Amino acid sequence: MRFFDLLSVQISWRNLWRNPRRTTIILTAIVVGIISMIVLSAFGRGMMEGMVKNSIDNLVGHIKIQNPQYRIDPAIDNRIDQAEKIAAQIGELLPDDVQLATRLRLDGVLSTSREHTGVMIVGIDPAAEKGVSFIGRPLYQGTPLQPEDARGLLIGQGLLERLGLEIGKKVVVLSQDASGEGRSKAFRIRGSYRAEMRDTEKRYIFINLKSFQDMLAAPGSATEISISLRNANAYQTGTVEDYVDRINERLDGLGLEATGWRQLLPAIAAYIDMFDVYMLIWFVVVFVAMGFGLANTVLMAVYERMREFGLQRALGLRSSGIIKNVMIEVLFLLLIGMALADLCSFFLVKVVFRSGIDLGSFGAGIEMWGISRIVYPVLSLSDIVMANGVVVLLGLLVGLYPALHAARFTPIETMRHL
Amino acid sequence: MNDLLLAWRNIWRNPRRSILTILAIAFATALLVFMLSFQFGAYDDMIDSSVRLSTGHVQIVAPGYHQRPEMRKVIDNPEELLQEATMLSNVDAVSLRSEAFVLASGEKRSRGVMVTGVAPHHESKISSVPQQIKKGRYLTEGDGAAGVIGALAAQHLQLDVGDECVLLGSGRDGSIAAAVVEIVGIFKSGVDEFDRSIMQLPLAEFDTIFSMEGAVHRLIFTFAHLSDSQAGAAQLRQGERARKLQVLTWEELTPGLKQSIELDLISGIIMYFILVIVVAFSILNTFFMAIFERKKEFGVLMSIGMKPRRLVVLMLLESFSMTTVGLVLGILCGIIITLVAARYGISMGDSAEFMAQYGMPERLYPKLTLLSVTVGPLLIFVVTLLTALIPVLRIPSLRPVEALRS
Amino acid sequence: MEIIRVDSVSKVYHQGRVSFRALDKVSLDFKKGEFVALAGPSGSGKTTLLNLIGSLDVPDEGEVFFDQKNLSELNDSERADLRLHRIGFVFQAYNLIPVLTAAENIDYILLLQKVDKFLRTRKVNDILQEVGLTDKASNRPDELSGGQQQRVAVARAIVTDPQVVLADEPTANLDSTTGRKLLEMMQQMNRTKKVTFIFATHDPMVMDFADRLVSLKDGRIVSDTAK
Ligand SMILES: Nc1ncnc2c1ncn2[C@@H]1O[C@H](COP(=O)(O)OP(=O)(O)OP(=O)(O)O)[C@@H](O)[C@H]1O
Ligand SMILES: [Mg+2]
Repeated sequence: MRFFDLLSVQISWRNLWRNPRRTTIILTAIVVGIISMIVLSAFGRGMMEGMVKNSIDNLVGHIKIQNPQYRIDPAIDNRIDQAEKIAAQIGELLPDDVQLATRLRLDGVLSTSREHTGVMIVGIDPAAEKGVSFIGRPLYQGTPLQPEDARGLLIGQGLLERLGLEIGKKVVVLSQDASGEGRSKAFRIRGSYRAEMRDTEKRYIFINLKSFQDMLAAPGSATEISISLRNANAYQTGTVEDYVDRINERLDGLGLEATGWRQLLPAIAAYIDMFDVYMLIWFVVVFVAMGFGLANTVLMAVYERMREFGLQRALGLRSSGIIKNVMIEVLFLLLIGMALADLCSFFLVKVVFRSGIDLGSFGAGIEMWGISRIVYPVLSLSDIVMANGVVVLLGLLVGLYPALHAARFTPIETMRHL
Repeated sequence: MNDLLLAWRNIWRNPRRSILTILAIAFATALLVFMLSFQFGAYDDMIDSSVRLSTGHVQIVAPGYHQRPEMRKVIDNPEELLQEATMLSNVDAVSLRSEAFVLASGEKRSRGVMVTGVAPHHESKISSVPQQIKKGRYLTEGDGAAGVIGALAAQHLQLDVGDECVLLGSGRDGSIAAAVVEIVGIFKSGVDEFDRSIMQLPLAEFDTIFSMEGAVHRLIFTFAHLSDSQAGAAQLRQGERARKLQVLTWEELTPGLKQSIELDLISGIIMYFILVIVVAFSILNTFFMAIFERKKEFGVLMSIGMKPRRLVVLMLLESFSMTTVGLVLGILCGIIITLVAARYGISMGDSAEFMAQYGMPERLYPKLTLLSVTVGPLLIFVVTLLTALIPVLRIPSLRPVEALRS
Repeated sequence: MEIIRVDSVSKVYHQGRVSFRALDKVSLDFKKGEFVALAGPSGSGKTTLLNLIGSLDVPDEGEVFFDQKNLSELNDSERADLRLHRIGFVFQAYNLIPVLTAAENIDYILLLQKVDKFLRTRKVNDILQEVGLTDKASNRPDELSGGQQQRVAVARAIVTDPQVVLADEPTANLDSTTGRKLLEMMQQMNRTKKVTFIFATHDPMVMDFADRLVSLKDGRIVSDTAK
């Protein structure tokens, strides 16, 4: 006998609708449960991906080429010589849509007429930053850095306010050259930027790469080459690692090293991995909440039909047949619930919450964690599969309990219960 | 023979069904008790480590210093204020701090560093930095030109314990301030931003270097309990001198922390609410069944003169008793799980590193409070009784004749 | 003096489009202390009539008076009170609350009447003695035989000292000996307490016991004879 013979399926289907109210109620529990699994995980994932994206935008990039010493000791000593040349070579290795940005990034001091503060000075090629980092986005105030502007400087809006500065004001920037000598130069503030993280705004100032190199008398040098992949799967493992290997092959012997963002942002990467675990826990918790209802409902349906099962047994149906019929009924229940819930979730994510939710009222809180102000839900196939998988697997497991009960009813016993 | 007893016996007419229902309620209850205790405990730990690391519960600063910290915005004669403040009840510890930005140089390297002048003796009661010394020792009262520095700053400056460090900045009056200090200790808080930018000096030494003339920038307070900080701040604001200064609580000092706690709490509440709704639908069928399978019995009861209102009460009593059993069971389990977890702490696994950047402790300890034990169960109680009302409210429209025929 | 007066009462049931006249202009009087059997083939309207008398249902036409009071003028709550205090019911089966013992089943109706505890205990004991079930007082319905269950039901109907007891096929599930014992018991009560008994029945034995026999057919009275 095949497992899904038409008759069993028909019997189960009809039995399911003998008590429409009861079936509807338990379906609602299942549907609400699965929707909550999918939609909440979509928001969680959206929030997390936003966080990853913000961190990568925060002058990290998907892959970064550095002198390995620089990560321990970020000083000009650990620089990349002839950075432009290396960048061009690496560029040939990679697909056309990949963007490279060469930067010279060093600690320094920013002085106004009244105050001094510690900053991170970043020399950039403004054109190369578009679509790569937050500084490539439109400014909050003022005008962008022109390529030939040797005295132009961009500052974070937060720092601008804290120091009581204005666009157009003069500041002095100080840093150390290769001999350990302090070098300073006056700059004029051209514009101010806003970043997702307030700490970033207070820490980074931007000048032209060329002008920074000149200031430190280190022509052609940089401290990092940041590589940004365009394709969406940049966050997936595999792609990035693949490129990293290829680049490192080419860099062999130059004393430089390419690193993927997972290594650059180990804390974030660990959090992403934990996220899947958190989601699974949530799925199981929701399932347990509806599992009790599922067991109870099917149990009721089974007890109500006790005499029918007795009769079927008397007519010669084996207990395995009864288990099968009950399990098909449970499976129907789960499948209908899953189908409805998946549709609703899709609708919620793609239509209702299409423009995301605004966390603006938690402004300071989200800035602290680098969460974007607007969180867009992200439907990931793996989350959907996991949610449905948890429900169908555990659901069938739970269904076994009433099914085994039903199989235990013997004809004689059921007569007594008349 | 009273109605409660009758309800109780009715519950056990179908023990399997009732037990499943009770378990569903108990599960949700235990989970909520534990999760809320966990969240509240974690918030306390988070606030505490942030308070210990830098802000304290309450600070007094000169007007405008919080918005735009400048050397000249000082609190003169802090001792007077200190006297005033120590009279307050609940104050656990008070300390004075001053801050200045300097260019710190080692043998080869220089970088900008925030120098904080601290009173070593008081600081150890307030701050966690003294316990976070990884090498060397913390400052003592007798120290002169000595300093402790964050591990990352030390690394970048290539400084070690025993090395000398040159500080260059400007004093309170705008004059040039320069000094040489000996590094006596290196601390590591785990918060990179803090470890990269902070150096601490004895307050007296700071005073001399930066010509503070006895003035300080901040008065830091901690209270016996976090919950005292609002009241403490309010009391401080009453003070004769403090009135002209700015009194700030930890919420104002670290709005990010407060708002991320709110965000976390709200997302938690949304999740719990959904969970409770799922449980409600899970048990709705039981409540429906309990009524529909007894229609005939209700018919008899109504025939002998029982009023529908009384039947409604009787059935609600039944749901109520069942819910109560589930709640009690759930609260007990929740408390036990929480107590066990509170004893050993919960490791955040790989996320710990991520959390550490924000000053979160490695292990989180749930904390049982009256609130965490009651809020969840109360929500479940209300939702369950509302759920029970749906089928029960059909009883009044039941006609005895029809009920008897069913 | 009649305790119940049924005045040209009709009851029409609607099932979808077809309507069915279960009672057609029935008029009847019942006197205090009567022991009456309503007989007639299945579907003739006996239960319907009994339900109208017991104020469980309302007629579509005509009126029912209970002790001079027009039942259609009472609201639901007043009807419930009427049933609680002045009418007793005995049904064919499933009369009792399954989770309560025999004594508690009887006790419960007194509780509904708000009788105080002391009096309740006495009344329950007395009535259990009267129906011969003192030794089964703490047994639940599923531990009693059909006849014993019906005796508890009668005890419950009578314990409130009602003016009328309405019994719908009380003997239908019983063998003839048990049925006879039950009827003898009820007859006894009828005689000693002057309670009016009205039966709806197919059982010839009940008709034998009755002082008056009313026969129904297709919702009309075809004969009404006193013995
Ligand atoms: N709620 C109802 N809806 C529709 N028809 C009804 C309803 N109640 C009774 N009837 C119909 O009214 C008629 C009289 O029913 P009733 O129950 O009074 O008969 P009866 O004399 O008690 O029969 P029996 O001896 O079988 O108990 C029957 O034909 C029955 O089908
Ligand atoms: Mg009948």
